[in-house]
Amino acid sequence: MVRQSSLAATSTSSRRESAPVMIKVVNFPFCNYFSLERYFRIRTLPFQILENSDEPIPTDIIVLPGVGTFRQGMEFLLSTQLAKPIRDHVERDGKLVGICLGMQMLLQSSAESPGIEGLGLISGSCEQIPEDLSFSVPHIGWNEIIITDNQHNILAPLRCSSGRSKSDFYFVHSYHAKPLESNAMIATFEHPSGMLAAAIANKNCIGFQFHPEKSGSAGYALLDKVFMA
Amino acid sequence: MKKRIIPSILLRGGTNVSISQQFIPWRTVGTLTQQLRLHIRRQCDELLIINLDLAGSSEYLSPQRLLSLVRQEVDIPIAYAGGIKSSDHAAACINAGFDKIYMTAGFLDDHKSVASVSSVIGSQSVGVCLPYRRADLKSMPMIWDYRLSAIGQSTPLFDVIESAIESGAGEILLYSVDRDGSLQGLDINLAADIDNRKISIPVLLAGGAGTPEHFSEALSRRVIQGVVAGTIFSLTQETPSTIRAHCEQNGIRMRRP
Repeated sequence: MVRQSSLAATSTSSRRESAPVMIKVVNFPFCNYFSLERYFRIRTLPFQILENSDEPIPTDIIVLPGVGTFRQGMEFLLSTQLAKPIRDHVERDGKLVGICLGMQMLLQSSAESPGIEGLGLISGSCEQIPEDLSFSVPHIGWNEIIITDNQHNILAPLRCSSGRSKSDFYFVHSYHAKPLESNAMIATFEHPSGMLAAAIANKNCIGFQFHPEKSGSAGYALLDKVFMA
Repeated sequence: MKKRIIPSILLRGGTNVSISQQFIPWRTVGTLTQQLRLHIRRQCDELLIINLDLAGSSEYLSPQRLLSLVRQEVDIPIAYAGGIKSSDHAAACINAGFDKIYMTAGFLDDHKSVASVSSVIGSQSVGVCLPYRRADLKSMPMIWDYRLSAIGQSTPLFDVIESAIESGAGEILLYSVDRDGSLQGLDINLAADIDNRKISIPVLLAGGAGTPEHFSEALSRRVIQGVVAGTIFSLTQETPSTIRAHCEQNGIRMRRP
């Protein structure tokens, strides 16, 4: 099913010319799909739900949103036979964007659901955010991020000279990603135990622990860099 | 973590927005679309919709019109409260574009229902809203079940808070019924008590916020992560932006939009 507004179909703006062929969104049973849909609709970007019969082409962008537990997310991808097309897409140098649980599923496993295998597109696992009286868990609300990697153009415009983001982003999670390669961590947030992952990346996969689609205009600006760059 | 200013939108009769006093709606102040646009333009951090039409009802009917308006208008976090009793209800709300749901009657009737909802949508997306009253200013806060008129058979608020945390709630909203709509100030004594109990999940306060000072006083407490308020945004000149500026001047870390 293609959800595309008539404006998107007829627009000839420069924004549309630089847009990907198609954005394909995994529609989990419990997810923030409609928040993303609003962004695509407002920006008149073409998007559709990823079906297991799809054969994404490398210029497509697959989006893994997600709310819920690691087990439910992975069980959904396996039962709907979407895990293979997603992995194949990444192997063919296609771009994959994970948001929140979608980001955590890029890794190999999670302490939230022991024994459940993740997509394994980035080496590492997810662990529970350490309890601390000065840091409420779940980590719910707005926080600044620290951009640790200048190589990713996507995050560069958000960065102040101090490395901190100019705006805050909205987080809702209890587990955090711990990639094995430290350079996979491209942005962090502060926790009393140290810096935890706010965004991770490996080659053509990028994941955000926070919700850019729920972070107001700053979040939309970040999504513009992801989907319209 | 940045502290949050959360306007509450009390719906009664479809998409009409009311303000209330002591949990009784008394004045219509606009429509849902107007209120969503207004609060977002004034840079609130989060929104809470309380759907009175479904609160405490035995059957849950998915409020389609409400969900579709939220989808059209909102690009910030938004939570829903009203009639949720099961993981199916909760998942329908999350799917429809909400980020979080709050349970009250569903939780009071069956504490385990929170665990079953949180096992489906994750504890970070499940809050418990606990209305409470005090017989007088110094007496112990007691749970107030809005479906019953008497406070007599009620349970101490702190017992229920512990139970909510054990049941897997990711956040707790403590709502002073006595102060609701009064603009006379939040229950600061409760904020102090909560702070002393070293609760590890985020706690929000509601009921009585009438000036920016009321917000800064509550938000300066470590465990109070946000203040939920309705009447102040309808009956005074204050906006989330003006309150944020005041809190920042008082050394509280607030969101940078």
